[in-house]
Amino acid sequence: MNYPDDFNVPTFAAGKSIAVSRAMGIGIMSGFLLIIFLCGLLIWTIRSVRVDPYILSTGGINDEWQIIAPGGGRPEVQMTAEQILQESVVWNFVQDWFTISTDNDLNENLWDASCSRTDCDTMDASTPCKIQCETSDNLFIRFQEHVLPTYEKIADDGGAWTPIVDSIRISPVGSISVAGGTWRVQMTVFNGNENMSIMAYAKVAQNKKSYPKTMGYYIADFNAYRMK
Amino acid sequence: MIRKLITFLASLVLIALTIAMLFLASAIYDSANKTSVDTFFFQTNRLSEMRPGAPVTAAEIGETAMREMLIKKYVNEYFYAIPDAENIARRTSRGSTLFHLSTPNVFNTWIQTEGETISAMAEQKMMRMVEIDGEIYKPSDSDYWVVPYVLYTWTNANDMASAPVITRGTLLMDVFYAPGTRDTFDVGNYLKHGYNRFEPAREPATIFRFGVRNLEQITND
Repeated sequence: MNYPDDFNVPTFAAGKSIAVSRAMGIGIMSGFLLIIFLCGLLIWTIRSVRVDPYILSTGGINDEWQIIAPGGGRPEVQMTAEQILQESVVWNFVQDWFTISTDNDLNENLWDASCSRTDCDTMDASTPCKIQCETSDNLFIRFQEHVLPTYEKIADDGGAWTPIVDSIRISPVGSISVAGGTWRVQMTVFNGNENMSIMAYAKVAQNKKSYPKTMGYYIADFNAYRMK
Repeated sequence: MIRKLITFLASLVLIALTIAMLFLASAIYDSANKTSVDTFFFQTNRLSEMRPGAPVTAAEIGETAMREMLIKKYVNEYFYAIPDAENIARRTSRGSTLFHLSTPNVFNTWIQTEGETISAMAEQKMMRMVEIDGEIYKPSDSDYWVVPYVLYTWTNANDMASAPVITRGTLLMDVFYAPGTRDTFDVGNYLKHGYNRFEPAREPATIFRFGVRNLEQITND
């Protein structure tokens, strides 16, 4: 030994191979520990997967439970052109149905039954037969037989009904398709003495030949009830 | 030295194999759906129907209130009638809300009794609404929940002078209820695709672990 110039003298011949084995052992063990850690991480990650919370609404008319939207996002109401058009037809119709005016000419315009379907297609908004042009033949016959006599009596007695436009709420009942659907209407009508709270169901159907002004949409059935 | 190198490489291969198995196992685990649903309810604001209050979770509502909400929902589905044949057809079909919340026996009995009634009412353009008329309770010596109700029936459509006919009665309901949602169908997928209000599919009331095993109807007047 030439100390200090050369002091790298193996003191134990097998030392180097033992050190290599030890390093490999530690490396492999570390590898397995890493794998076990990754397993834990994976299980934790998978178990934390969940659906975003959903907002449900309950109550309302006939206790309807509805899914408003996934809780993570802002609720969006998407309506097709046909749905908007149907809602608009219902909107106009309920105002005509529940109007009794002190002006006889206006009442005549609403209740006139002298028009044919072709007349309805060509007339503008101020022309007669408004209810007839918005409804099916069956519904208009029901109107004439069961509703109109009461309306005429009220008008003859000088009474008037005024729909309160801001109170009208229209919502779908069941499926609304291109061919139509049923809509629920909640509204208030002032009858000269008090407000009448009304709920109604309007069935919209489509017949493009007979009702071209509304892309064929018309009121096929209408049933209203006074709530209070 | 070569032997050790071989051992080292073999260890590397072993680690690689273990990682491959791990990913394979993860892929198998991921292929199965595992979802949990947190349900939020609007707390109805008394001041305005159009102005909802703050959402609350099912846990905050509590088991008792949840069971009552589901019983009220069931009673509404059982009795209400509107002049819409499609609505009646949907409710009396297999797959309806009442079908999912009842045992087959109870549902079939309903079809033959109230199901027939609401069909006839819809044809005659009548409307019926229901309210819970007092406290829902279960006597200590009974398996049945006592549910008093009141029915309002409008017999004449488009007659603003007619008032509803009022009928009172009681339902005795053998109910099973457990907190949480059902695991018999894919609730997550249903909630994700079922919220279009223009095409209502299955009602969200059916996702809960609630059902009616037996039911008796008592009409008071």
